[in-house]
Amino acid sequence: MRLHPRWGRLLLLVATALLYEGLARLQIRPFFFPPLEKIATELWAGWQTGQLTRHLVTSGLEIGVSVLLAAAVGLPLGLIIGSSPTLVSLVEPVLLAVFSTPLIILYPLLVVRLGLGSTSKIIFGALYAFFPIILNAIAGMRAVDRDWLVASLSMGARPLDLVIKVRLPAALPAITAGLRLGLGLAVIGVLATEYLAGVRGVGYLLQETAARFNVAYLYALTVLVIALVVVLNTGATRLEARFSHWRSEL
Amino acid sequence: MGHPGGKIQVDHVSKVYPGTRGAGQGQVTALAEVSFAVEEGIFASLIGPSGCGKTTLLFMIGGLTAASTGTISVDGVAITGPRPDKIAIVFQNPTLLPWRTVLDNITYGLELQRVAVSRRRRVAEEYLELVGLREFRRALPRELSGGMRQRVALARALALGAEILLLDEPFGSLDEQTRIMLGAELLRIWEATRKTILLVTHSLSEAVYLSDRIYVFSRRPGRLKAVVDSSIGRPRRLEVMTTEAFRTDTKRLWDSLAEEFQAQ
Amino acid sequence: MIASPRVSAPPRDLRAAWRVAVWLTAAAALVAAWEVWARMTPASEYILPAPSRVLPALIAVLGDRAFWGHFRVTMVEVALGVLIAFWAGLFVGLSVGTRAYLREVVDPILLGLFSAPKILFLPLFMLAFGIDVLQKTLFGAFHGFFVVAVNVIGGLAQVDRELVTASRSMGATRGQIWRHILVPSIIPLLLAGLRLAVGLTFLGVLVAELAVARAGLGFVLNRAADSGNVPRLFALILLIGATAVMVNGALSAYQQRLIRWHG
Repeated sequence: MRLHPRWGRLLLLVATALLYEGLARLQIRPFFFPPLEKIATELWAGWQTGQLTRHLVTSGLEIGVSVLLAAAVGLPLGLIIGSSPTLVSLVEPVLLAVFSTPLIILYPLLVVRLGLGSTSKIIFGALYAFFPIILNAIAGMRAVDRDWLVASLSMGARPLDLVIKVRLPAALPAITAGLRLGLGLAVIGVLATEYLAGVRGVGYLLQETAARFNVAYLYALTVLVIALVVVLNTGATRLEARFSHWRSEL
Repeated sequence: MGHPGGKIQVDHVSKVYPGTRGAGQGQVTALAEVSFAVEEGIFASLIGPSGCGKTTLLFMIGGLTAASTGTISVDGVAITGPRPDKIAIVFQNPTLLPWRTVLDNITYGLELQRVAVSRRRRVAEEYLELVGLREFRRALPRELSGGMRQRVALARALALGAEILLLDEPFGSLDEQTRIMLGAELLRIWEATRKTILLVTHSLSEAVYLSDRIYVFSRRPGRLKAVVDSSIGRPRRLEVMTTEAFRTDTKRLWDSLAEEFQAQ
Repeated sequence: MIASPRVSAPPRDLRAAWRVAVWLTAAAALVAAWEVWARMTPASEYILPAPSRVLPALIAVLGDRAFWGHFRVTMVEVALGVLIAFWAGLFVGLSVGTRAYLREVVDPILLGLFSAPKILFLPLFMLAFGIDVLQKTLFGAFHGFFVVAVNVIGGLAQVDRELVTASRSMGATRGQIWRHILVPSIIPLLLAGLRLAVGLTFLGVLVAELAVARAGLGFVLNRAADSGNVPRLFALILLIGATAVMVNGALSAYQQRLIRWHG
């Protein structure tokens, strides 16, 4: 009957951009509404000088490493804990409680010890990402249907068989979901730490741009980062779907 | 009631679940002492009201549950755990691994038995053909109907090559027509492979149609109440269900069971 | 008698009392080991000071009137922020959630902003609203808003259409449909969203205070870090963390009780 929602969204965004441009042209609060052209120019300049690329790469690497670190620690732990209901009932509530706190308050401590460089960002990002990864790994292990285990045992499965052939594949959808969530949180953690106490990276760039009151560039960066995060998230979701395609509505 | 040296020998087997508050309190006797022997190559059914312990008995024969008293032997050797080399089980829920294709599900049991890859595939293809699902070899379980899933489960069990096949109400969750069709399939497979089959069922018509012998159990605590031998000849086609022999057998079975159902 | 693993009964979870006992024992052991390690490692001053040093710092903090002043400031910002987040989220959630087309268009945008790093918007908030209570409150509210809105939309989306149709066929007015079907459907998710919103608003306020502030818990944390007083910093972190856990726990328990009431 009307436009497909995707086009509706595009229309909405275009309308917003036009409205914005209108405000800029009318010279309403010029400080807050630099014209779109200026925004584009600033962005281009940042790209040209390679400054943008440098910071993007730095942040990208920090995020990547932090996710790997979180997975390296969180996955094995999560799988081990998840296979024992006793351990789960002991450990999961503690993890959930810690996860419910604003972890950002730890960053001054990390910075004091590890400095302003990439290390503190990586550790912090890993800390953020750790929780969804381990919690999802635990949940994934618990989601195994007992029937599969019984059937496997009847066909002579040994304990290692059960883990490798049944529990792990069954847990895979939850694990990949956890990794996706962990990636999102690592992005948030790394950018926040870069902003608050960094010398490199997109977060730092943002803080520096704001400090210099370069509103146009600020807007440009914000939109750019959001766009990148959306792309990243979409990609991660698609990848995750590949591992869960066998799930049915049962 | 036992024949000496049967393929499956059940001797004074019972199953008692302990209460939660120490011995004697809240105990549940699922199965009171049961003894019988199953000959090689027959198709036998276990029938009885819900909770009479027939599934428990099946699981004990399959080595998945321990008996509280007595012994169960297959080919003279006592059962102490799963014996995939001798006994294959088809469960009420197909229990296929949802992330594996149909073919990979059939090879699963062989994988667990550490059979070589090439041989696995060959055997699996054979049974895939036998249950008539050749075109679905790459399908995932979620793309199959309930009946088809059970056929895969059946192929998986058969692929193990065990001489004994235990089935726990395999057609329970299916509609009437599919039940009858799959029952006929099962008979066809049995005639081709001559395994010893033990089927747990709720359905009288199913028991009568399929079996050489029907073991009737009382309500809990389950006891072997009667053994009904089939008067229908073999081979049997579906039309058998309209014959006089079928009706007679069904009546005999009903007579044994009636008071168990009424008392519930 | 059976050698293979039993398949009859799964092992049970430890009961609550046992769990608490294990936790307390583990915590005590952890603190003891930490104390021993800290005494043996001179560098521990700088990252993980000994409990014997953190404790006096903690007591000092608790007795410091200035600290409580900052605590109050942050709590006020959080409380106001939650209020704003709740009502704004509810409003937007209801406006969007009741219009299917609008929901299809806006939902991904909300979801996208929800999962975006909110720190991106901090400079904008600071430019627009300054660096004092107003900005902190709004930035905190910004964090909490999305959860509430998304949850309300989700709650409305899962209402059984057939139930609504059936009610209409029995002559129910719009008001009645709202009261008997829609509202009960939203409430559990709304409460869950509110609980999450409190945590997120708290986070948002703290982030803003950590960035640039003249008052509040974030400010206090920064000052402790700048002055190199790590035991005090650690004590503050523990305190804020404990507050968050307790508030979340209380809200959780309250939510459970309400759910049991309404079913």
